[in-house]
Amino acid sequence: MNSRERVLKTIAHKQPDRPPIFATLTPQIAKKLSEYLKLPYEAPLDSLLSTRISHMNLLTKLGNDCVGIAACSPDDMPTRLESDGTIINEWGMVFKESGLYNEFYSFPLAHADTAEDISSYPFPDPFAPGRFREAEKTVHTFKESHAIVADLECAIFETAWYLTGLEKLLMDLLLQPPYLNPLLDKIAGINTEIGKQLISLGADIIWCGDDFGSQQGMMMSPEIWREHFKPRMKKMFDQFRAVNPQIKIAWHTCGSILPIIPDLIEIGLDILNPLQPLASGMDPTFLKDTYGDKLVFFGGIDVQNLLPNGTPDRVREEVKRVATIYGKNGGYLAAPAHNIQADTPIENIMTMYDTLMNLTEIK
Amino acid sequence: MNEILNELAKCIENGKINFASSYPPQMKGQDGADELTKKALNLGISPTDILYEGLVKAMNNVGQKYSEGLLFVPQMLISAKAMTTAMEHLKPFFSSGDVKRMGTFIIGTVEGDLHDIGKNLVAIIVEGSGWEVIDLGVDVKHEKFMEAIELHPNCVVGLSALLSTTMINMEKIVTEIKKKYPKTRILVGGAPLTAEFCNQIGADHYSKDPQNAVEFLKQIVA
Repeated sequence: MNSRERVLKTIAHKQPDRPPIFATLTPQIAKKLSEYLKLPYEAPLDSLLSTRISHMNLLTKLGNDCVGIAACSPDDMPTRLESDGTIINEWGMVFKESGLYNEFYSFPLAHADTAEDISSYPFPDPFAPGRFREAEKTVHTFKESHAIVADLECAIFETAWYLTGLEKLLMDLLLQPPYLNPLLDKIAGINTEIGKQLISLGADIIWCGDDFGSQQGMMMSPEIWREHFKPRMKKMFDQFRAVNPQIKIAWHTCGSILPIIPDLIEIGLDILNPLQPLASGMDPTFLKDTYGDKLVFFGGIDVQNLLPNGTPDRVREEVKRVATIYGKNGGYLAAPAHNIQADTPIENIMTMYDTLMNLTEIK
Repeated sequence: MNEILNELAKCIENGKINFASSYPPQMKGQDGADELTKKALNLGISPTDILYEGLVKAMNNVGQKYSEGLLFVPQMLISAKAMTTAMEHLKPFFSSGDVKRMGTFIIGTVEGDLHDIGKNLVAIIVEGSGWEVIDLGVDVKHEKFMEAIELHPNCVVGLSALLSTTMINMEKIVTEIKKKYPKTRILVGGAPLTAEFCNQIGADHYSKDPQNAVEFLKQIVA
């Protein structure tokens, strides 16, 4: 069974030979792993979703069964570094390097109020030339051997607050000033077109996402989520299925999101990610027992404590435990619950892969 | 007096900032926290009563409901906005000393970390419980905490971090504070924090949410 077959069996709720793997990396750990394995370092691609689609040669050599594709910055609007050190992308999002990450520096729609503020804002063109060049290359290289995962995270909510600021957007979900619906609709529209294009290129899974959860619970009430995001997400999913009825739809939301899992199933979700294990209530046994017949599980390996701080023995034990629970009767795409972080020991990463690639006894 | 302060409390709990605000829908066309605070002062109600009977009680309920998972971040933020709008009218009385607060709470996100929404929520709820809050912002080095403590003897300090890579900076800050100001109480909080980590670095209390911080502070002044 090759990687592609392993993944396709898994997402069809059938038992593969072992759980397929789809890990992603921060650039710093990609560099360390490349040196360790004596492989050329692949520079990160210019995309808001860069970590999910970069270092594919390295990751497939490590043992990934999937490769990631996404929209990149188009030829006429690459991400640029300004003389004051700020980094600005095609959405107008403004970042500054801060330690290991590029953090938000300012928000271009921090004072948005009217519909005109949105209609006059220069949003990206989903069809701009050059946007899908890297995606096409990756599909061409890997489509026979690996499953293709089209990344469409920051689908609606996150792109919106990356432009307005998080506190403003959270309050405005309640205050509902005139700019709100035009902004959410515009972003959903752009990302739907991008998603449709990625599916047309040959994606097996479209991995959408927005973080609705925090460590302890949901960031907004389920009612507010149902008002603003559920209908927009359903519309996106329906449009993706119109392009390819066989497409499998995944949703990434960090944190604790138990109250809305039935809603996600209702609107057509196939795969839930990342199953952040230390977030309140996101227990593998509960999730598998309750939703295992309806959802494929993708993620589940802790990056907050286990991978960076655990001993290799502890990593082996816990990865085996989590994968055995989620992988019973198939339906588990194994992955860390986020990008493998810079402070993760190489030995722990190699142990994770080794454990998963030898886990052939799950029934 | 009770009626207007009860109405004020209702505005805080429901996030009714002012008359013009369309939220919450069921309070449309009614005075908000802004107007009612002015009315209460004009009626001669003492700023102390407005703070403790109107605002603090209401924010305590908001914090409690958040802690129990009955209320979420957007509602907390709007209640906080209603409260800070009301507080603007009371600020002159704080400076004059007419209104006594529970104490001074210095808070900041630690060095290397730029995340602030959790810290802001704690600051809001603690201020709403009657404390003077000095918010040092984000990426705060230990020297800045020390300067603030020097200016505010008997304060309590709160440290926030979102990243496992920045929470380790808390240990140095706690050590430096305790070396020079051994009686200063220090709370720590943030997504990667645990009670074990709090004990390990010598801080006094791990606060899992804003209301938990308020309960700890209440014990200090009791």
